[in-house]
Amino acid sequence: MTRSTKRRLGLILIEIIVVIVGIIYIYPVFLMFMNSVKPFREVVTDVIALPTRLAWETTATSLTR
Amino acid sequence: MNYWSLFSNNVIITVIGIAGIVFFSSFTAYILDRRQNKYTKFIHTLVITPMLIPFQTIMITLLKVMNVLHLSGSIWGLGIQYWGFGIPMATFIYFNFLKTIPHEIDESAKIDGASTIRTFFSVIFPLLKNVTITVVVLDVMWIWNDFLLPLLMVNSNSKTKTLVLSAYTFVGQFNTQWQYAMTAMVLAIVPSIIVFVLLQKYIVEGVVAGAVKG
Repeated sequence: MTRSTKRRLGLILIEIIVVIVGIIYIYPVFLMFMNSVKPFREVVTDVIALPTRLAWETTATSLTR
Repeated sequence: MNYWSLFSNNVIITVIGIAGIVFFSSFTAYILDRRQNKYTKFIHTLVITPMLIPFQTIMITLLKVMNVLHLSGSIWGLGIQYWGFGIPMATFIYFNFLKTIPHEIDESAKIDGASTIRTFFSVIFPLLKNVTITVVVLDVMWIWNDFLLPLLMVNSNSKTKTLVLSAYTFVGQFNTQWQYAMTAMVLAIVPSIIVFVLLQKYIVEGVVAGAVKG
Protein backbone atom coordinates (compact mmCIF):
# COMPACT_ATOMS: atom_id res chain seq x y z
CA MET A 1 0.00 0.00 0.00
CA THR A 2 1.51 3.31 -1.07
CA ARG A 3 1.76 6.35 1.18
CA SER A 4 -0.88 8.32 -0.78
CA THR A 5 -3.35 5.40 -0.52
CA LYS A 6 -2.78 5.23 3.23
CA ARG A 7 -3.33 8.97 3.48
CA ARG A 8 -6.54 8.77 1.46
CA LEU A 9 -7.84 5.89 3.59
CA GLY A 10 -7.02 7.88 6.72
CA LEU A 11 -8.97 10.87 5.41
CA ILE A 12 -11.95 8.67 4.52
CA LEU A 13 -11.87 7.17 8.03
CA ILE A 14 -11.78 10.63 9.60
CA GLU A 15 -14.68 11.75 7.42
CA ILE A 16 -16.73 8.71 8.46
CA ILE A 17 -16.02 9.43 12.14
CA VAL A 18 -16.95 13.11 11.69
CA VAL A 19 -20.22 12.18 9.95
CA ILE A 20 -21.09 9.71 12.77
CA VAL A 21 -20.31 12.31 15.44
CA GLY A 22 -22.38 14.87 13.50
CA ILE A 23 -25.36 12.52 13.38
CA ILE A 24 -25.03 11.84 17.11
CA TYR A 25 -25.06 15.60 17.78
CA ILE A 26 -27.95 16.44 15.45
CA TYR A 27 -30.18 13.47 16.32
CA PRO A 28 -31.68 14.90 19.56
CA VAL A 29 -32.54 18.12 17.69
CA PHE A 30 -34.13 16.06 14.92
CA LEU A 31 -36.12 14.12 17.54
CA MET A 32 -37.33 17.38 19.08
CA PHE A 33 -38.52 18.73 15.73
CA MET A 34 -40.13 15.41 14.82
CA ASN A 35 -41.92 14.96 18.15
CA SER A 36 -43.21 18.54 18.04
CA VAL A 37 -45.54 17.54 15.20
CA LYS A 38 -46.61 14.17 16.62
CA PRO A 39 -49.82 13.56 18.58
CA PHE A 40 -49.39 12.91 22.32
CA ARG A 41 -50.13 9.18 22.06
CA GLU A 42 -47.39 8.69 19.47
CA VAL A 43 -44.87 10.71 21.48
CA VAL A 44 -45.29 8.56 24.58
CA THR A 45 -45.57 5.20 22.80
CA ASP A 46 -42.60 5.49 20.44
CA VAL A 47 -40.36 8.53 20.65
CA ILE A 48 -38.11 7.66 17.72
CA ALA A 49 -40.82 6.57 15.28
CA LEU A 50 -41.80 8.85 12.43
CA PRO A 51 -45.20 10.56 12.83
CA THR A 52 -48.18 8.84 11.21
CA ARG A 53 -49.81 12.24 10.78
CA LEU A 54 -48.67 15.81 11.35
CA ALA A 55 -50.45 17.19 14.41
CA TRP A 56 -50.20 20.94 13.75
CA GLU A 57 -52.87 21.57 16.39
CA THR A 58 -50.21 21.16 19.10
CA THR A 59 -48.32 24.08 17.57
CA ALA A 60 -51.47 26.20 17.55
CA THR A 61 -52.19 25.26 21.17
CA SER A 62 -48.61 25.95 22.26
CA LEU A 63 -48.80 29.42 20.75
CA THR A 64 -51.75 30.38 22.91
CA ARG A 65 -51.31 28.37 26.14
CA MET B 1 -49.35 32.60 28.17
CA ASN B 2 -49.18 34.10 24.75
CA TYR B 3 -46.31 33.31 22.41
CA TRP B 4 -45.83 36.91 21.32
CA SER B 5 -45.68 38.29 24.86
CA LEU B 6 -43.08 35.62 25.73
CA PHE B 7 -41.27 36.43 22.51
CA SER B 8 -41.22 40.15 23.34
CA ASN B 9 -39.85 39.35 26.82
CA ASN B 10 -37.05 37.37 25.17
CA VAL B 11 -36.36 40.18 22.70
CA ILE B 12 -36.20 42.82 25.48
CA ILE B 13 -33.88 40.69 27.63
CA THR B 14 -31.63 39.85 24.69
CA VAL B 15 -31.46 43.43 23.37
CA ILE B 16 -30.64 44.87 26.81
CA GLY B 17 -28.02 42.18 27.40
CA ILE B 18 -26.38 42.50 23.98
CA ALA B 19 -26.42 46.32 23.94
CA GLY B 20 -24.70 46.49 27.33
CA ILE B 21 -22.19 43.77 26.56
CA VAL B 22 -21.18 45.31 23.21
CA PHE B 23 -21.02 48.90 24.52
CA PHE B 24 -19.11 48.28 27.73
CA SER B 25 -16.79 45.53 26.53
CA SER B 26 -15.73 47.25 23.30
CA PHE B 27 -15.02 50.54 25.05
CA THR B 28 -13.26 48.80 27.95
CA ALA B 29 -11.11 46.79 25.56
CA TYR B 30 -10.24 49.95 23.62
CA ILE B 31 -9.07 51.84 26.70
CA LEU B 32 -7.22 48.80 28.08
CA ASP B 33 -5.41 48.29 24.77
CA ARG B 34 -4.53 51.93 24.06
CA ARG B 35 -3.40 52.90 27.57
CA GLN B 36 -1.18 50.05 28.60
CA ASN B 37 0.43 50.46 32.01
CA LYS B 38 0.55 48.36 35.16
CA TYR B 39 -2.86 49.61 36.32
CA THR B 40 -4.66 48.80 33.07
CA LYS B 41 -2.93 45.41 32.97
CA PHE B 42 -4.27 44.73 36.44
CA ILE B 43 -7.76 45.91 35.42
CA HIS B 44 -7.55 43.77 32.27
CA THR B 45 -6.86 40.70 34.41
CA LEU B 46 -9.68 41.72 36.75
CA VAL B 47 -12.13 42.09 33.86
CA ILE B 48 -11.43 38.81 32.07
CA THR B 49 -10.85 36.56 35.10
CA PRO B 50 -14.60 36.09 35.84
CA MET B 51 -14.70 33.87 32.71
CA LEU B 52 -13.24 31.19 34.98
CA ILE B 53 -16.04 31.38 37.56
CA PRO B 54 -18.87 28.89 36.92
CA PHE B 55 -22.33 30.45 37.13
CA GLN B 56 -23.62 27.70 39.43
CA THR B 57 -21.16 28.69 42.16
CA ILE B 58 -22.48 32.25 42.45
CA MET B 59 -26.16 31.89 41.53
CA ILE B 60 -27.54 31.78 45.07
CA THR B 61 -25.59 34.82 46.25
CA LEU B 62 -26.48 36.59 42.99
CA LEU B 63 -30.16 35.95 43.65
CA LYS B 64 -29.81 37.40 47.18
CA VAL B 65 -28.02 40.49 45.85
CA MET B 66 -30.61 41.00 43.12
CA ASN B 67 -33.40 40.74 45.72
CA VAL B 68 -31.72 43.49 47.73
CA LEU B 69 -31.37 45.65 44.58
CA HIS B 70 -35.01 44.89 43.55
CA LEU B 71 -33.75 43.60 40.19
CA SER B 72 -35.04 40.03 40.54
CA GLY B 73 -38.44 39.38 38.96
CA SER B 74 -37.87 42.02 36.29
CA ILE B 75 -36.88 41.45 32.68
CA TRP B 76 -34.83 44.68 32.76
CA GLY B 77 -32.94 43.38 35.77
CA LEU B 78 -32.35 40.07 34.04
CA GLY B 79 -31.00 41.83 30.95
CA ILE B 80 -28.60 43.85 33.10
CA GLN B 81 -27.33 40.70 34.82
CA TYR B 82 -26.18 39.31 31.49
CA TRP B 83 -23.74 42.21 31.24
CA GLY B 84 -21.75 40.77 34.11
CA PHE B 85 -21.61 37.30 32.60
CA GLY B 86 -21.00 38.37 28.99
CA ILE B 87 -18.54 41.23 29.36
CA PRO B 88 -15.42 39.17 30.30
CA MET B 89 -15.49 37.00 27.17
CA ALA B 90 -16.51 39.90 24.90
CA THR B 91 -13.73 42.10 26.31
CA PHE B 92 -11.25 39.30 25.71
CA ILE B 93 -12.34 38.98 22.05
CA TYR B 94 -12.36 42.76 21.46
CA PHE B 95 -9.00 43.24 23.18
CA ASN B 96 -7.28 40.66 20.97
CA PHE B 97 -8.74 42.22 17.83
CA LEU B 98 -7.88 45.79 18.85
CA LYS B 99 -4.18 44.82 18.94
CA THR B 100 -4.34 44.48 15.14
CA ILE B 101 -5.67 48.05 14.64
CA PRO B 102 -2.71 50.48 14.32
CA HIS B 103 -2.40 53.29 16.87
CA GLU B 104 -1.72 55.71 14.01
CA ILE B 105 -5.45 55.71 13.24
CA ASP B 106 -6.16 57.08 16.74
CA GLU B 107 -3.36 59.60 16.39
CA SER B 108 -4.65 60.95 13.08
CA ALA B 109 -8.13 61.31 14.60
CA LYS B 110 -6.60 63.12 17.57
CA ILE B 111 -4.74 65.50 15.23
CA ASP B 112 -8.10 66.25 13.59
CA GLY B 113 -9.38 67.28 17.01
CA ALA B 114 -11.40 64.21 18.00
CA SER B 115 -11.75 63.32 21.67
CA THR B 116 -11.15 59.77 22.92
CA ILE B 117 -14.88 59.00 22.93
CA ARG B 118 -15.36 60.52 19.47
CA THR B 119 -12.35 58.62 18.14
CA PHE B 120 -13.73 55.38 19.46
CA PHE B 121 -17.29 55.73 18.19
CA SER B 122 -16.53 57.41 14.85
CA VAL B 123 -13.27 55.72 13.86
CA ILE B 124 -12.51 52.57 15.83
CA PHE B 125 -15.94 51.06 16.45
CA PRO B 126 -16.85 50.78 12.73
CA LEU B 127 -13.63 48.79 12.25
CA LEU B 128 -14.85 46.31 14.88
CA LYS B 129 -17.85 45.25 12.77
CA ASN B 130 -16.84 41.60 12.29
CA VAL B 131 -15.89 41.10 15.92
CA THR B 132 -19.08 42.82 17.07
CA ILE B 133 -21.18 40.49 14.91
CA THR B 134 -19.33 37.52 16.40
CA VAL B 135 -20.01 38.74 19.93
CA VAL B 136 -23.65 39.44 19.05
CA VAL B 137 -24.24 36.00 17.53
CA LEU B 138 -22.55 34.11 20.37
CA ASP B 139 -24.39 36.11 23.02
CA VAL B 140 -27.78 35.96 21.25
CA MET B 141 -27.49 32.15 21.12
CA TRP B 142 -26.61 32.09 24.80
CA ILE B 143 -29.07 34.67 26.19
CA TRP B 144 -32.02 33.61 24.01
CA ASN B 145 -31.70 29.93 24.98
CA ASP B 146 -30.60 30.44 28.59
CA PHE B 147 -32.62 28.52 31.15
CA LEU B 148 -31.06 28.67 34.60
CA LEU B 149 -30.74 32.44 35.14
CA PRO B 150 -34.32 33.22 33.96
CA LEU B 151 -35.55 30.30 36.10
CA LEU B 152 -33.97 31.90 39.15
CA MET B 153 -34.90 35.50 38.38
CA VAL B 154 -38.17 35.76 36.45
CA ASN B 155 -39.98 32.43 36.88
CA SER B 156 -42.22 33.66 39.71
CA ASN B 157 -44.37 35.85 37.46
CA SER B 158 -46.04 34.60 34.26
CA LYS B 159 -45.74 38.09 32.70
CA THR B 160 -41.95 38.03 32.88
CA LYS B 161 -41.35 34.45 31.68
CA THR B 162 -39.18 33.66 28.68
CA LEU B 163 -39.85 31.22 25.82
CA VAL B 164 -37.61 28.50 27.25
CA LEU B 165 -39.26 28.79 30.67
CA SER B 166 -42.68 28.48 29.06
CA ALA B 167 -41.60 25.15 27.52
CA TYR B 168 -40.73 24.00 31.04
CA THR B 169 -44.29 24.72 32.26
CA PHE B 170 -45.49 21.70 30.30
CA VAL B 171 -43.19 19.46 32.36
CA GLY B 172 -44.86 18.46 35.63
CA GLN B 173 -44.03 16.21 38.54
CA PHE B 174 -46.75 13.66 37.75
CA ASN B 175 -47.73 14.50 34.21
CA THR B 176 -45.75 15.88 31.30
CA GLN B 177 -47.39 17.09 28.13
CA TRP B 178 -44.55 16.11 25.84
CA GLN B 179 -46.20 17.16 22.61
CA TYR B 180 -46.64 20.75 23.86
CA ALA B 181 -43.21 20.79 25.51
CA MET B 182 -41.52 19.73 22.27
CA THR B 183 -43.47 22.26 20.22
CA ALA B 184 -42.72 25.03 22.72
CA MET B 185 -39.02 24.16 22.59
CA VAL B 186 -39.04 24.27 18.81
CA LEU B 187 -40.82 27.63 18.85
CA ALA B 188 -38.30 28.88 21.41
CA ILE B 189 -35.15 27.94 19.50
CA VAL B 190 -36.27 28.77 15.95
CA PRO B 191 -35.51 32.55 16.21
CA SER B 192 -31.99 31.91 17.52
CA ILE B 193 -31.37 29.36 14.76
CA ILE B 194 -32.46 31.97 12.18
CA VAL B 195 -30.04 34.53 13.68
CA PHE B 196 -27.27 31.95 13.65
CA VAL B 197 -27.87 30.90 10.03
CA LEU B 198 -28.00 34.53 8.84
CA LEU B 199 -24.84 35.61 10.64
CA GLN B 200 -22.76 32.42 10.87
CA LYS B 201 -20.28 33.46 8.16
CA TYR B 202 -19.14 36.32 10.42
CA ILE B 203 -18.47 34.07 13.42
CA VAL B 204 -15.32 32.40 12.08
CA GLU B 205 -14.14 35.69 10.53
CA GLY B 206 -14.55 37.47 13.86
CA VAL B 207 -13.04 34.74 16.00
CA VAL B 208 -9.89 34.42 13.88
CA ALA B 209 -9.71 38.17 13.13
CA GLY B 210 -7.38 38.90 16.05
CA ALA B 211 -5.48 35.62 15.83
CA VAL B 212 -2.64 36.84 13.60
CA LYS B 213 -0.96 40.09 14.46
CA GLY B 214 1.06 41.84 11.83
